[in-house]
Amino acid sequence: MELWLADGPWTAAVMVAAIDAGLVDVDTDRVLLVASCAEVPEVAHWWTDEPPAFLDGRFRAVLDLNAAMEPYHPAHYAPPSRNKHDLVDAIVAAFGAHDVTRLVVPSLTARPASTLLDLFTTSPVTLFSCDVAAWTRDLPPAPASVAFRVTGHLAVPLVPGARMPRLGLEFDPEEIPASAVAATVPDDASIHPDGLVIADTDPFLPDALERTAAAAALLAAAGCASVAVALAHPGHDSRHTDVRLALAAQGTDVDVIGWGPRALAAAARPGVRTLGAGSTALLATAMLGARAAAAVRDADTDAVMMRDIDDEAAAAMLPMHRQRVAARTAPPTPSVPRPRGLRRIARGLRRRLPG
Amino acid sequence: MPAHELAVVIAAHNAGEFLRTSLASMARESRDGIQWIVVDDASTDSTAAQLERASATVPHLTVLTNEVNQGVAASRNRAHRAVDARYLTYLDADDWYGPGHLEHLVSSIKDLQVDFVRTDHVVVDGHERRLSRVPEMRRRIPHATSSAFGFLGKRCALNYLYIWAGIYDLERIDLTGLDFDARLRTASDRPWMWQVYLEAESTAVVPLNTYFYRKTTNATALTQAGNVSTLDFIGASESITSLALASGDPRAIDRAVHSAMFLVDFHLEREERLTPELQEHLRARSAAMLAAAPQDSVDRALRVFDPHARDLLGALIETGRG
Repeated sequence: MELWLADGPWTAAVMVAAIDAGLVDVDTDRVLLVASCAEVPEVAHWWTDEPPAFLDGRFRAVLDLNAAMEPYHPAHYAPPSRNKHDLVDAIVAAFGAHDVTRLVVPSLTARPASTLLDLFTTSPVTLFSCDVAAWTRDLPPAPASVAFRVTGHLAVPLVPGARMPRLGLEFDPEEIPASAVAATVPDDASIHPDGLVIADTDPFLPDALERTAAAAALLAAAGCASVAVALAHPGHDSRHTDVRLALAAQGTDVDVIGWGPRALAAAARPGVRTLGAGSTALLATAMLGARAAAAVRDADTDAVMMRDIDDEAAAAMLPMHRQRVAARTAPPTPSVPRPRGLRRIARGLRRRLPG
Repeated sequence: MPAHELAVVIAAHNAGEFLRTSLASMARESRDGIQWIVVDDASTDSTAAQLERASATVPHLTVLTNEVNQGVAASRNRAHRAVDARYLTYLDADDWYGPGHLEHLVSSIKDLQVDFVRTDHVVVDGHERRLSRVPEMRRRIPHATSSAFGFLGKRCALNYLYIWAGIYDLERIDLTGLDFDARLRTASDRPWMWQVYLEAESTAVVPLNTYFYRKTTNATALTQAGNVSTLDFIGASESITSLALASGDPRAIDRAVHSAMFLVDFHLEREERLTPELQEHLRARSAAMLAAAPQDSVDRALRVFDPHARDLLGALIETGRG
């Protein structure tokens, strides 16, 4: 069986597009691991809470990786050697103890993808690049021991005009056409905004609510009669209702939805406008056909304006993702030495030293 | 007959930064039969606004507001007066529950038929998480509380005094006699937990790891502040020793004295975070406390510390004895 890892609905939609477009083996046994890397996954709205129709028929089963790793966080957990076998047993047993013939992952260096690579060391790898971080020059190349295993690399044209770094591989990626991705996202009759604010920062950071409200006002001023907010920050862990109530308290009454199948469907509706700070989610809406714009502050007037996403604007967004890339690829931090621990180590050393 | 099956008590003081996570957790765990009681202890940040909004998503939520800051002990005591449930548990305002936590808690105490149940918890520091277990090898095994004190030299459940890592049956434990000591700004949960162990008859530990404790430094956490409230552990330890002495249980007395000495050693190792005046206060009060403790218990406890701590504590004890 092939193990596919999706860290969000966008990754899952891209993977399904590649399957439907025949860019991967069609007749194979696929199972999907889904992972939430929200700051607090236990309370986060989870995109698989909304049944994603585009997964139907493409995967034999779906397993929540957070549950397999609980209580640890998938963005940090690197299982110690003594626990690796148990985790492999848990994952494989859930799918009928088949051999894992391939890993399909959205990253080679960021957890939890790198954790899977470390667990299933004999499986060849296919890489899916659909996060804007893959286009940053700061993304560390895959170690040779990982790069040797990669036999396929697929990517979406997320940052038009920008050339993706090789990421340590010896070949360029094969493109998944934007049309194939758009075709995977079904029309959702339950939501019909003609303006979608992509809230791609934590909505409760200082000023974030004000920025979200201002973005909604900008879309309304641009002629969008109905505006919704999609909570698309990867670490977001709050409830939609809470954000909606907080916005309402500021006089902005909008529907608030998660960055899930409904938001993707809304972005794929003809004529829809989307507005965000600059993120994978915003660029994804552009790929799905939305008229996407970045909210930029005019240096002279300090007013916030909409700037349509073109090649130059998309490329300008790349640097802001450096920090996120660094956080997800850094090794787990060792514990801080404590006096009591240091004393114990010193005692142990003294015992081993002659005399 | 209580109106609810379970009451959850939360004391919040300027918890706005963290409250949205705990409120999200409360919304997820809410169901009929769960009573939420939050005491807003005179917060000056967004706590009140968030709690006001929460009533839309957290059913059976009671918010009590202290006009003047009274501390976590007095706030919990105030919440106790509003409890109308068979079982009781706690949640710190900056922590959260994993899915199904409360359901598992309630089913555990029902199945095990004990006065109270204790659980493990997860220590969270950013994305890093560490499992903290109750120092008790008997899991899912009902046992007498008197056997929980163990023997010196080994940690036991009395070294794990997290009141929120547990559930209490109020038909078996009389809450009216169980007030937190409002004079203590920190460590008030320690004597409270000891009182539960000394007055209740049965307990059990279940391996539940769905309480998430946020270790990330919280500016309002007095235990981390290194100020005069940090020394409240001394008053708490004196209360615990008095409770143990009143019980007449020699193992409880030995454990109480050992715990007090352990905490003295712990705080002496970290005394650089205190002002010189507070360091002096720490040493003087600790010496007086250890001098007033049963000396045979002090001597026994001293034998299980490592040489460094033994020297440190020994010198302090000598000072206290004059």
